[in-house]
Amino acid sequence: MPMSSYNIPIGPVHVVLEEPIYFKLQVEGETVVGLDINAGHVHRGIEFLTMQRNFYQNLTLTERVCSLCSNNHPFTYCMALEKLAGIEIPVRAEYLRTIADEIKRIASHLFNIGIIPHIIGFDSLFMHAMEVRESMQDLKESVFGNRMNLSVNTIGGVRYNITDEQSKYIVKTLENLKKPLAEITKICRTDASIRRRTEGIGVLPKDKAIAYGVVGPVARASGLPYDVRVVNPYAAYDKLTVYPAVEQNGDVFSRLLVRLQEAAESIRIIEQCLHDMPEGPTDLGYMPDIPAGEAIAKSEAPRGELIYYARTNGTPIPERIKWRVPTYPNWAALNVMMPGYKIADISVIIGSIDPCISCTER
Amino acid sequence: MKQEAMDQFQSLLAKKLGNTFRLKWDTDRKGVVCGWCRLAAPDDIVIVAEVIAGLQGRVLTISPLNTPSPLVEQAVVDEGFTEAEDPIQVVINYHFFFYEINLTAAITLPDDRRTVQSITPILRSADWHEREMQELFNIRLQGHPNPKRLFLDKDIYLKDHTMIPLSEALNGASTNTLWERIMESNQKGAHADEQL
Repeated sequence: MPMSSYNIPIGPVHVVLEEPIYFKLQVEGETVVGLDINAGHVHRGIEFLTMQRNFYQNLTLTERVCSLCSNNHPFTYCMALEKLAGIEIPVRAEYLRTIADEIKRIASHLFNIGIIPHIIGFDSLFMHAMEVRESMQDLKESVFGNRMNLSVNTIGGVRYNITDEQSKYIVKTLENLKKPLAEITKICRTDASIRRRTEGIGVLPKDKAIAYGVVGPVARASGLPYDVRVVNPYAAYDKLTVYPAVEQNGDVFSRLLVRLQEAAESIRIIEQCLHDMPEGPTDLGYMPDIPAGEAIAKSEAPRGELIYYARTNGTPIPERIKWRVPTYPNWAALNVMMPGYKIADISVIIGSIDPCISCTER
Repeated sequence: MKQEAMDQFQSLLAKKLGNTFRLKWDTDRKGVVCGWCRLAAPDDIVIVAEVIAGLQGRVLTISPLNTPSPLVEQAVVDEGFTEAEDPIQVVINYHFFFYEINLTAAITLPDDRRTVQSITPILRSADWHEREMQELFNIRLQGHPNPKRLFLDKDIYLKDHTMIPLSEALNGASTNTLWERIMESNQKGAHADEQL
């Protein structure tokens, strides 16, 4: 007798995180055979709002698109406008932007590194990862005055500076992070219960990764060495050595490993920055006018490539600001990652792309 | 390497489109190349997509915009002008990526047409971007394999030249509507009881 196929709804509330997205899954027995994704539950129309506000008001607005990669939005937005206006920012500001971004990346990756064990029921590791992450939250609070929205970027530079004392504090905090991060990495690599639930699950082969245009750790876990920091450098990344973490298997386990390696790599990048950063101004000292024109800018957010397109007409209000968040192309790739796996694997597969619904619903 | 890829793209496109397109490249001081290509006819975007697919590229994103007039000929808006005299054009920017190069190809839709050929059959990575454009700018797609709504409820009626404030139209708002409908039917039910 042929196995009957039926549909099950997953979501829209609490699929993996407390953010709404709705999946209609077709299953045969307990095996997924197809899915349909339905978004738009908390769409805020922020793109429309950016066209009602001036360039400087938009700094605050774009920072609120997402929480975990909040820094990347104003960062990339500023870079697009600077490119458009031909503004060259001070070298120290480039380094300071890089430092802020890498601190956010560590905090974001540690969050997902904690979430994966949480989904598969390994809650003690989840709590350990979150406790380790807390040191990065403290770091952000001490240096930037805020635990999530750093508010460091402005058009033409940054709005913060690092004193020698702060620099020492950052180095010390990062030094203290290395050991627990290595421990978590070892547990993730060797623990049988983690490997059983993540290895060979949610596989995205390299050819499909190319076809779907996936970005970030999802792409790098499928063997694509694409990292905006290396391929299309910006800020201080052209002066730094960045080694993108690449894995070949394209499963949930590989994505976890990529994030673990990237968190360690971010520590090295910040150390390089603090060592190499020259003295000098951190912004232009004035608020530049933005002429008419159009430009695009990209950055590597924790979840992957973020792109901003800006078009202006000489007024203080942009004619069009459009951005594409890294999670956006990664959603569609779930059509490849899910079929063939069990219902019980769904949440860990969704969690492994580190989805940001807040970003998707911009 | 980058120069070769740029030349290759340009010659492949010229072979298919002749001299009908304008293309310029800019390179920033970090060596990041952005190409800006303006196409003569909206359907030419399919040719660009084929060339990009041949170069194993992908779609970064698609940015449609309603614009009062072309960028270079920005007219000063006179107080006496009415909106009707100011025709809105729809410009669609397709952002592609191949060989470390970012390329933006722009098409302008004629005033009487709000339909474009879908490039999703050629480049899979265009899927969600095209569906989003369909919903947020009411641009109809021809030949899209799965043109279902992505964000908006299928009952929402779309209008031309309107940016729909999604706070009014988002899926989450349906909860409220649903509740109002229930309350309404309850009230009707209550009155029906009284009449009995």
